[in-house]
Amino acid sequence: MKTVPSKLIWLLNACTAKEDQAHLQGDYIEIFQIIQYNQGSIKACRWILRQIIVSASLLFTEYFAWRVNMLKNYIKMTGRSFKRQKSYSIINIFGLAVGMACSILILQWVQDELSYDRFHDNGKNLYVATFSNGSTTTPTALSGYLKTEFPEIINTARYQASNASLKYGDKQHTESGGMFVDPQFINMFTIPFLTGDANTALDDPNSIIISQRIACKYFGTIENAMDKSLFAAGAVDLKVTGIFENYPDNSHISCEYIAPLALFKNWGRNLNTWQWNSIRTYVQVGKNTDIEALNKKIINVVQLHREKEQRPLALQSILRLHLYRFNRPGGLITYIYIFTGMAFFILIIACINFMNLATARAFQRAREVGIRKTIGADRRQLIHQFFSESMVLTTTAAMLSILLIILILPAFNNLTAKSFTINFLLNPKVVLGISGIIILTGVIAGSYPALFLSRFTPIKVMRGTLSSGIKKAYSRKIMVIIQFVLSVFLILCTLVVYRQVEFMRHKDIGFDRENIIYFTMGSHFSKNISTIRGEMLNHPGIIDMTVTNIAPYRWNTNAGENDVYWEGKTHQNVSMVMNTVDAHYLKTFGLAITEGRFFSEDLSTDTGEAFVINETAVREMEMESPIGKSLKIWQLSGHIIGVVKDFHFESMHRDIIPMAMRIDPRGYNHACIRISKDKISSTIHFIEQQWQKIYPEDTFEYHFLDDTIDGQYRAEIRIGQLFKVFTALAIIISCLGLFGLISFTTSQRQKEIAIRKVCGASIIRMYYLLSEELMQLVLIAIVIASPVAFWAMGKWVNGFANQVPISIDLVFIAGGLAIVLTMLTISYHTIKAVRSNPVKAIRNE
Amino acid sequence: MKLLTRQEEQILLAIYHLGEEAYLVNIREQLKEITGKYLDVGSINKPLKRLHERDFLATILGESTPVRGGKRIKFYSMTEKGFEALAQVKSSHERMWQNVVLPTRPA
Repeated sequence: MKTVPSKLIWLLNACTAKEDQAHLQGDYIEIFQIIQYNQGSIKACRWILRQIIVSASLLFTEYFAWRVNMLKNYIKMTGRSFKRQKSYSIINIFGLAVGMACSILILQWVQDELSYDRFHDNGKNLYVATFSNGSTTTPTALSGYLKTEFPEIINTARYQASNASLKYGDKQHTESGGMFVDPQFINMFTIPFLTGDANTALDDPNSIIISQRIACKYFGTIENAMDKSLFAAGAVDLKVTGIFENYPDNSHISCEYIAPLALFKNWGRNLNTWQWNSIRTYVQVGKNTDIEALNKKIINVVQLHREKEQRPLALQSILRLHLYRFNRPGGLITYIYIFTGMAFFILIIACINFMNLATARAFQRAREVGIRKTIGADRRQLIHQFFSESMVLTTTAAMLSILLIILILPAFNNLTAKSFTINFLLNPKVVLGISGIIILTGVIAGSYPALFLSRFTPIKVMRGTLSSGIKKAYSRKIMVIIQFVLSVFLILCTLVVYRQVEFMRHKDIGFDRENIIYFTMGSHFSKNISTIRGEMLNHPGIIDMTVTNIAPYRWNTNAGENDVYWEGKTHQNVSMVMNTVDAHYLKTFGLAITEGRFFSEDLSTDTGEAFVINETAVREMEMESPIGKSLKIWQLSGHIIGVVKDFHFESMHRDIIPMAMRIDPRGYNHACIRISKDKISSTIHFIEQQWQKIYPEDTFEYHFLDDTIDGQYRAEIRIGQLFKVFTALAIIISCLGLFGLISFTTSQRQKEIAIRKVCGASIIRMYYLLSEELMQLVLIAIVIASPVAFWAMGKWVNGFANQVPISIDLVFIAGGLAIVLTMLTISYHTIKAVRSNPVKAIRNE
Repeated sequence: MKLLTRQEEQILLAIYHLGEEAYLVNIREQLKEITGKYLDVGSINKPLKRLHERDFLATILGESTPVRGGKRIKFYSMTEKGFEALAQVKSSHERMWQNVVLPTRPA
């Protein structure tokens, strides 16, 4: 005869009140056997199941109600112990709240960066045609060719960003975020249309679709805007055929208005040529396309049509554009990793505080544990108690952290240049994340006291033989070490980031960057450049003026020309950038000539037939004596007349690359003016007047070169600031923990201190006694953290062409900082303990 | 004193009839005799507990037997208070039924 299946017994037990379990189970088994005997096993099993289901309601009342009762008691105990030890509890909760707020904000930032371009329905299948060096500037004919030749490619569209001016009535502004695209573009990408038909909106070459923002700016309301015509780029009337919701910020393209690319044809641009690279090509492939295979097929597509283009072509997913650098390691993703790590570091530090303080306090609660155990609480109940206690505290901390987030969000937005609103807290993902953090922190923070305290045997506790104090608490020591390893690590990282940024900003760039302004000239301006120049130089505030195709630091050196030939070229290929300048370039920027001479206005042969190259170019072309050698770049040939000393004309992220300068009046775009430093505002006013003479309607827009240079490092500066803030917070949280810990240890050792004092110990000696232990821990932490930080930051710095050396003195700075902060933190309680009247401590025995 | 419910009354009577042998399985069988159907274990155990709490029943833990999977039996027996409660129910029933003549249906 079979017995009751053990699983059913288990279920039955779960549904039975504890005190009934023993005999009821016997009754069940007996009845089961009777039924089995009379009606068979199946009936009997069915009967048992029925009993289980029927008593399920009992499960609730007997099982949960009892638990809820205990929970109430636990919460009450939490409240009481909170009240009894206010300072500990406040340190605990506040530290945890700050830690949580930090991690939530950081993770929000991370999540925002990761969300770039994810909103496109076809996002996974959209690619950009990219050359091996990361340049996405491709020939205009590429798009059509790809679509017809490769069946895997469903759709292609060309894209040209442009900041054109828009005009309606008397409102005229230059708007950024404009793009000229093929009509298919708006089908490939997800544009959130409000009105208008996405399929046909751009079919008419004289149409334009605009964002809600632009619509409201020019027409007041969305309804007003439809079918109106906007005068664009000072050349053409475009009918508004669609309006879309403001385009999300988290995209690699910014989008305020979209006009058909075909317009460029009217303006004389060849939209079907292989001869030069000028436009971005987006590609949509079919689902499940093997992109590796496709990449192999298109690798030499451009080269087939233009032999000189030797860079292999490949498709790059738009989802990677924002985070990764093409074909190179690094990119924003590095920072994503760094900051995710940081969020967890801070959370761990806060959790360790929580655990440390809870274990320290545990000895004071040991008696409670003892009594609970004697009365009949089993270990499981105690574990429950401590877990629910830490849950209550973490939940409180979480609420506090949300309050903190609301308070510091504006500052955080400022720091990260994002525009988060507190609504992000309502996002289900974030809510889930926060609850996750609460549970995780609660479990981690509560685990140690829960598992540790519940192990106490009541007799030991009541007898008072439990050892207390920091001496034997190895685990607590280890946790303090972990905390300080993380803190010192963060300090070191911050220092390296800070140094690297400062290094890039202040390294000698080869010319004087101060007091130079530059602006885009326009055709009227450049036509009359010599007269304008004459007038300008008459002004006492203007030291010199030069015109060039592009101002330094505005380069996109990905466009370096591979097609370079020179006298004595053997096999090596050199990619060189071409800079169109005039004879005043050298003096305006304050560059130095190392060999030969610079261009002269007096020699007509200097125009078009002469090159001045930089030292790097000489080195890469392996020329012995460059002067007089012939050089041919693209189709332009001439002789080298001089060599200019190397200077940085683009950001320190990259090395100086070979450059050739030549005079070509057709290429002038930017004017650069060096102003004497004591007359800046009056001189700029003067230049503006000159500008107004030529362009009475347009505003004069100019930039300071040093601002532009600084702008190159904005990302790093921002990262540096974020590092600084979060490291500071991490340190504060660790110090809070130390503060709590030291106040606990000193109060434990009050009697010892008093006796020592009575026996004549000096204050300094006792200060040493009390702080020695923690100091040791901090020193150990420094020793552990330094090599790890050096290794990690070495990797980060490797991503820069111009690296700051990571030197050993950083360890001393970081270590010194950690030690000083630790001393300051523990001083309050130590000094207080040392100075207190020994009578007070000894009297009450 | 609160009157017993009908179920409690039946259970007490069942225990009274069973005497020394009153434990859950037997009580269940006895109740089947009285009411005509088997009750769920839970709905017997609960009133039993309640009666025990009100001191109408005393319990003795018996030996464990292999038939019961090694679990001990819990025997129930009537207490003084239990008899009093039953007597009270009985007298109130008698008072209620006094002079009641039900119309007999013709066969």
